[in-house]
Amino acid sequence: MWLSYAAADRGLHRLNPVAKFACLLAALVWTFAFESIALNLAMTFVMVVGAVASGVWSRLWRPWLTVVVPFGVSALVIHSLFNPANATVLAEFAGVEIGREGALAGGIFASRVTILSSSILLFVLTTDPRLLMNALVARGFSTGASYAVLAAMDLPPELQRRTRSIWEAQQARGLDIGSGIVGRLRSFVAILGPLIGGALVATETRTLALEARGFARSGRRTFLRESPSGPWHRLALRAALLAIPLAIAARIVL
Amino acid sequence: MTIGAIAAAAEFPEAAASVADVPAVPTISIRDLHLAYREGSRVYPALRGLDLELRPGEFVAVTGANGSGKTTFCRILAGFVPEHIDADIVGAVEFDERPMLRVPTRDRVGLVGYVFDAPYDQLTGAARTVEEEVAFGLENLGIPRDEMIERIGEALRTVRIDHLADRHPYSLSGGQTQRLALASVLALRPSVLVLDEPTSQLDPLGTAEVVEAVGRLSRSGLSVVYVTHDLEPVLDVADRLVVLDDGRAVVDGPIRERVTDLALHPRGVDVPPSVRFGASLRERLALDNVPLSADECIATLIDAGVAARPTGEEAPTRSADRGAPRIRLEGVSFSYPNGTRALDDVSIELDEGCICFIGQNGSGKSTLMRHLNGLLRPTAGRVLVGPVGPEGQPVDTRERPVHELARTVGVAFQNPDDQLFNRTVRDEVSFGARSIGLSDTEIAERVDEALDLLDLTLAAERRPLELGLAARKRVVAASVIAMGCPIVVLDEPTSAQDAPGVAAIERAVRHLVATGRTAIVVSHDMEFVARTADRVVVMHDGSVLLDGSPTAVLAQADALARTSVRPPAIVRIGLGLGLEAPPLGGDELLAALQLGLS
Repeated sequence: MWLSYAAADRGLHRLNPVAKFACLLAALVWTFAFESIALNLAMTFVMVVGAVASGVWSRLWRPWLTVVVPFGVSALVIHSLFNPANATVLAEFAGVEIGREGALAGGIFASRVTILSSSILLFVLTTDPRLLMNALVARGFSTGASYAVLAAMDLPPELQRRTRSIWEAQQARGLDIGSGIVGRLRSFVAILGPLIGGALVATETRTLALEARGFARSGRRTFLRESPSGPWHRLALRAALLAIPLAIAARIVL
Repeated sequence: MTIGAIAAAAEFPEAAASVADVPAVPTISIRDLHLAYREGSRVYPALRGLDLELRPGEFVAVTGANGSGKTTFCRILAGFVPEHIDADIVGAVEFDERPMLRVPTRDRVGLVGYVFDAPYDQLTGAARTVEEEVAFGLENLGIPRDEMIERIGEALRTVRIDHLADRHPYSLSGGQTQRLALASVLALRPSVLVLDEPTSQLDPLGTAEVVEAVGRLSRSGLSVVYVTHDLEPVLDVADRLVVLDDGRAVVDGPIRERVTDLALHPRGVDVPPSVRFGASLRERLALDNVPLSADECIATLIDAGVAARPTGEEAPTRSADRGAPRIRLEGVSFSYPNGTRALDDVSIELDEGCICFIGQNGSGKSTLMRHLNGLLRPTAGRVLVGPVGPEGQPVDTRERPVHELARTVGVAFQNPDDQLFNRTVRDEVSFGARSIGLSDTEIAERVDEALDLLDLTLAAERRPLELGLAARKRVVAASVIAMGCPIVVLDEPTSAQDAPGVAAIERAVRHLVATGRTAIVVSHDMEFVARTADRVVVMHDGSVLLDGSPTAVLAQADALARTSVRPPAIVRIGLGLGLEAPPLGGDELLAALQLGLS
């Protein structure tokens, strides 16, 4: 199941979307700038706390457990056993040696994947797309680009809903979804075709509807709901924007 | 900003200051307008010398066959053409004598409001609440927040959905969504409201809600252009009727007079049965005017002393021998994963003939249809379809895959765009038959027959997505009919169809029944139901409310009202005259009232 915004008024939900994006981006830059498992574990811990405080942990742990953890564990095992840099034996089980260097590289890789995926999930789950759009427009982004960001965040659930409708409609016309390679290919075309064609029809109507409601107008815009703002939000944004070049500089210098 | 100021800013910047006193609601003049769409090297003429003048504050109902130019006319008013849709245009479009043809849509915001036919596609997709949806246009105009809140409240109250302000737009019914679209436009305070078939996908209640809201706006001074195939709901509210044919206005005048003319010369327009009946009354009772609505017909007949003279003969019913059941639902209940209980202990047997399911949006009709071919499995109870087993015994839908059940139950869903993907209409119509493994000879025969039944033969080699919505819906119906299933389910086949389109659907349904197949039709079109059904099943709140012959069921006005359905006009007239089970057709009612031809 696709994840989408989980409406609430706590934790990360209350942070300005642009500031939140900058903070998560800074976390990612730091993760990739420094090869430190301790740093990555600390960041992971902070994200878990953030998810719990925001009330979205219950929606985060399942993709973690089903995708991130198996992927991370696989990476850890493969690196530990087969990394060419392995020189120090950390442990040995039944004649199979676990290399220290590989385990370290695997650990870093796995923790980076964890932080990357958690950042995206946390952002999607705690960010009201409309407030994000408003915040971007308020910061001078074009309305078209801001709407595209919003549409991208809302697209997966919509695609999922339409795919299900198409799948049902084609089965009702006798399409056998699971009969061999040729059948599957045919099914794929029968589902993808209406998905694209229908989206084009709907997009034309929506484009005209947006135009008729002044979407393309230039000039000052107002907002029914303003994005959260204030000194703490500005501080978070500035700190994140400062942390990013710092991490890059440190990576180059150190 | 007034129209004059907008036009001036867009085309005559130097004149902007001098036209600020032009009235806010403009006179719209369209003179000798020719328009052709281009697609590659092909040219599709849509308007061929359209001449119209729309006066301030008028409610103009616009009708005509599909392809007559109605939508193009609307799009011209909103500025979509030629700004967003490429077309060759010759002629003039003026608002208060100011040329408007090249004024972009964005500069008409607040002047022209536009409501589309598709309720959901016109939502911005950028709102989590109804309030935010209405706010979208106001935000783009930079309206201060306090004024924005005031306008949102006013617009929502006008269309009577203020109690839904905090709901997610996608959680609304079709009727509520269409009223939300209307509110979003009204909040911009336009002078001219253009509605392009706004009720084509709504149930009778949704239609009545939208028409009532638009009627009130019109009375407050707004100009309204209302495109529709179904004239009956607007008979009492519209001032003027325009019929387009082949890109020209062929009928134009006061609606009461022009619709009466149409009763004699329909010009491809679906003339409301009450008007046809009223025309017959004028002839028989030597009236000066034609009573147009059911209420007017009743009043006229009572005044003429006809009400007390029913024949006493029992009205004929079409449903007699039902034959053996082909589908049996036994105590079927179904709840969606979010907990919504959509079906509640439904037990029913479906047999031969045309069985129409009616009821308000959300009453469980579509959920029930998805059970017939196994797309949904009951939470409790079972659905037996047969005979499809090896020895001809019924099978439980839980035990067979959908594609296998599709050999017995073919379903054409409401949204054609969920299904169309082939290069030509012929390929699309062949798809179902090919999927269930019919031979090439059988496929060719059945496809030709289905194309012919649904008036698609001339479009057979065209791309399905090039066709209009009505034709696309007929393509999907044809593809299911061509499968040759003994049971065919059609979900809202007549919505968006013009008179010839509805006639084609009727022809196809009658053909199915005549060839021994069961046609199950979900419909909000009560006139279609009255003409076509052998049996009517009324759904309400996930249960079967009524089930019987059309004559018996459609006469139960109070029970039907519980599920937001009104009996067809002729039945309402009969009921208004005191008949307990009025006939379904106008001629039969005249006969029952001893007003038939001698």
